[in-house]
Amino acid sequence: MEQNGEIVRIMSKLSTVETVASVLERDLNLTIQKWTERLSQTKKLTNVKLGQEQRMGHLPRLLEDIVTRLRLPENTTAASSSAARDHGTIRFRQGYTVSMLIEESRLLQVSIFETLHRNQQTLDPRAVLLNVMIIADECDTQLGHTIDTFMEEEKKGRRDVA
Amino acid sequence: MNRILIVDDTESVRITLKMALEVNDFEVIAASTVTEAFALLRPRLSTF
Repeated sequence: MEQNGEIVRIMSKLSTVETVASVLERDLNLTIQKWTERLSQTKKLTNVKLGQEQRMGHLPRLLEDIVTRLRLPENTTAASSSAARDHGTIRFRQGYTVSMLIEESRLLQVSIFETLHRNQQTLDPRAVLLNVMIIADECDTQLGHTIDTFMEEEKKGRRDVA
Repeated sequence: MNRILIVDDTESVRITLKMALEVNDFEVIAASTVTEAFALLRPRLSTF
């Protein structure tokens, strides 16, 4: 009888365990909302005036790329992210600096951590470390791609802002 | 047991990393500032 109770408790726990990828996918909009809130308190970034879509329009694709990467086999390296590359081009034309790109990428990682922390009860704690390392690697790779295209645009010398 | 020091000013980062490392058998010391990190480390320096 007691053994059955233990089995029920284990089964119940197993049924509520989610992967980091699923949590990020489910809470994508909330993660973006938290990113926006953090950004609104970061003067360095709000100095460039942008509408909501201009400000956060790149995030769904970047987060989807992270979710995709998390679902790939463990030793898969980051692929070239067209979302990140497009983002670099757009941010250059909007008047950003490289330092601002780094800051908004840092805010994305913090917002992802916030989402993981909020869902800590449903995550398998043993899987979180590896996933966090993959997220950090993917975010850094995305940032690298963003800066690459940003610098390419800078060489061309085209800005939309005065 | 291996020990890791985390210094980050964002609480959710500290807590998530601490949890993830502890279940993987690391001993974790977490601080929100460098000053706090030194204060936590000082009594343990002889064991590092």
